[in-house]
Amino acid sequence: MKIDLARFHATFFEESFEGLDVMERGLLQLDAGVGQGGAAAAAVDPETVNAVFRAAHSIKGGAATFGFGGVAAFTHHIETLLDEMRGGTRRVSRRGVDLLLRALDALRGLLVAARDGAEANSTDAAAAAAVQRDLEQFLGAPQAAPQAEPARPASLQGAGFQIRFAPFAALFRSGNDPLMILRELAELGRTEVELDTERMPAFAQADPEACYMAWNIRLHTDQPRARLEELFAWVEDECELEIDPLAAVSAPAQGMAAVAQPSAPVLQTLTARLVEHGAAESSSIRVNTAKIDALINLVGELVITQAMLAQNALTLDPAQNERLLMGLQQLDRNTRQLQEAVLSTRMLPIEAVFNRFPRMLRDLAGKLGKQVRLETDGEATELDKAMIEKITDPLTHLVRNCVDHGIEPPALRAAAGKPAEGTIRLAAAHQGGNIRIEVSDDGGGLDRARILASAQAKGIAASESMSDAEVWQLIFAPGFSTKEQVTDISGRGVGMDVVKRNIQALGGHIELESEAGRGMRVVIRLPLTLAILDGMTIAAGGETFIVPLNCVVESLRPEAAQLKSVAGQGRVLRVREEYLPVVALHDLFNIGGGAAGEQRGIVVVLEAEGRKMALQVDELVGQQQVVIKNVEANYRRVFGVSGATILGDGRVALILDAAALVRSTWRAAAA
Amino acid sequence: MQDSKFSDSAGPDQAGAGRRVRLPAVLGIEQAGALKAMLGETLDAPGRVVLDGAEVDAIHGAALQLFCLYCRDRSAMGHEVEFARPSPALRSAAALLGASTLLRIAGAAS
Repeated sequence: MKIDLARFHATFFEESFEGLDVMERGLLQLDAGVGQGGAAAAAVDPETVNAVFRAAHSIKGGAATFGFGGVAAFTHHIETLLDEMRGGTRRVSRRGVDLLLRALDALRGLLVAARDGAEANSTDAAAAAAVQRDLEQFLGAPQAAPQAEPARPASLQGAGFQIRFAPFAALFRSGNDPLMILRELAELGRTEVELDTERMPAFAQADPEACYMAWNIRLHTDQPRARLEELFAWVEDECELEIDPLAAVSAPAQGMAAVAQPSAPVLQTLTARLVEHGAAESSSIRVNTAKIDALINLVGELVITQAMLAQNALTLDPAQNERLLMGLQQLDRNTRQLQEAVLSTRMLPIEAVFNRFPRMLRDLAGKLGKQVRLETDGEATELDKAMIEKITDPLTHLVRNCVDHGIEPPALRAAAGKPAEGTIRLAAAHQGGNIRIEVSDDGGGLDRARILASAQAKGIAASESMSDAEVWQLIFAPGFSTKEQVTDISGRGVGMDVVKRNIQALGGHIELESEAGRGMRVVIRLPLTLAILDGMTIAAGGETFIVPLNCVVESLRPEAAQLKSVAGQGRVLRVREEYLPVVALHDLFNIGGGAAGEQRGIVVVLEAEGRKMALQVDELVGQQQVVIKNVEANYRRVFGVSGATILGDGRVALILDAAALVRSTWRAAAA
Repeated sequence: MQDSKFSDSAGPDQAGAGRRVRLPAVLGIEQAGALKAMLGETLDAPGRVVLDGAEVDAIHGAALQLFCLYCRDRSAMGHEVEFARPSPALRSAAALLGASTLLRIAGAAS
């Protein structure tokens, strides 16, 4: 068997990007800890600096191991600066944190380029070079107010360490080479290395890619224990590691007392970290999402098979087949539970998205001269990984718009009697089978009159009689907004049509609420997963369709008086003083048969994008959860259809795209 | 590094006794399987096996571990192994891993 290092690359990049996130969070905490004027505050948490340093160190180590020399060299500068900060030789300053945040961005660019197998583009490369120059300059520059180096704790002094390093067998397979670690160790001082061959099998039985070696090492150095811990940090969960002060091992009496006692907390910390790592390792594993998707697909098939069995069982005599029917019920329960369990493996907390905003707000607010505070709520709310990835861009856009156009400059806010610091709130919660994400601000809110005027000027259908909700929807219209107009209306709009399209593509909805002078709120509702759907089964002309249940407002059998024909607008249905355009499902898909006449069947009222329509069908069959199959991938895109599913009797049913139907119906009515 | 380089490298020792194995320049983790196969061919070969390390330029801990296993097992069987002309990379790796004594590499002539 050969080891292909390339297959570890994905893990390296994944872990490096996670490391960058850790660094960014830590640096933002440090940023909050240092005063606005750049003076170091006493509140800088040394553990935060350590955490940032460890993340940088891991990235550097991994980059060097996997041959990304450029990344390793660049990270080395970051690591050096962080090392000085945590060692106390350089204070944590606003300037330093700023520089590190910039370096982080450049490092991200370099990692992306390395991951994609491309040369960093010229902008990224230039940015990285500029940051590197600044880092070198900063590192070389004398301190404005040098801080006296704190006395090194007694535990860090002494003759060196006795180290027991016994890698697990899988060390080589994870891309690590003990040779590199021992080489780095040798650079710290004089080493006496004893190879322990105890675990080595016979040559013939040995797996060439398993590590059987272990070492007992005496390191004579004046380096602190933390330096050693860093060195082994990359493999700490892949080995047994013991580090004891050399003095404690070799020199009894006074020397031992002086060195060994204060080191206990350090040892405890290391032990705790190792235990924590061990626990984390046993409680989670990385699994390729393709494997999970295959599993979800299989469970989907199982659900369909189970539904087929259940349908066939309806024809059986309950008295004669009691045990079989009980078994089928049990199968039904187990299948549902299995499906839920499998789907939950793809669920991630939305924190993954929310975490990117503190940094973005800090940078944007600084650039725009505004003061903004971010509040988050419900970070632990889980949703499908695919959703997380796809919701990130729309949310980023919304939050950016809040800072850019929603929150007023401090002077304006003060004049309006508001606190100078604006608040942007991100909240997530489960609501029924959906997730509700809210982005709100306490800024100026939307200006109804100006939106209407702007829409009319652009030739978009708009009138004073429109409800507020309808007016707010105008800003989602393609072509509504340009940069100039956004400035003019002091509102938002750049790319809002794209935001809406993305949300809709996920089967979600977006709504706006606004109050002039008090701020605005965007509410996004998304299904928890793209794999299954709660649907209402309807029939028209012998065909069965599924309507997403979250779009169904009500269903009714209309009286003749409720249905009217309006010149130029087709038929409308009056429902409690509201007139809704009516479309027959038969007409939509050219289905023959079914009840004839204008009063045929039942009407299902659908709502999407703040508008409603009435869909005429023959029959309501029931409600059921369906497994979504992609039509576009297997056939082609079909208007009014978002997917398909297989029913219990084996027939295929199309899933209606409620948003597209509502949109086209209103467009036709307005034409 | 192709596996074929390994299979071609073993041959009779020019000095006459035992066999001489020319080690390739790169002994990374990717080559560990092929290295084991190559060493396996001479594991119980009678007489002396000379491992020529002059060309070794890059070496992974896994390769060095194989040398350790090989040397230990051959010694146990009463057969000789000798590293000839060990390159600086090979010497340094053996020293760092504390394997110079087991491999008898420290005193070998460069």
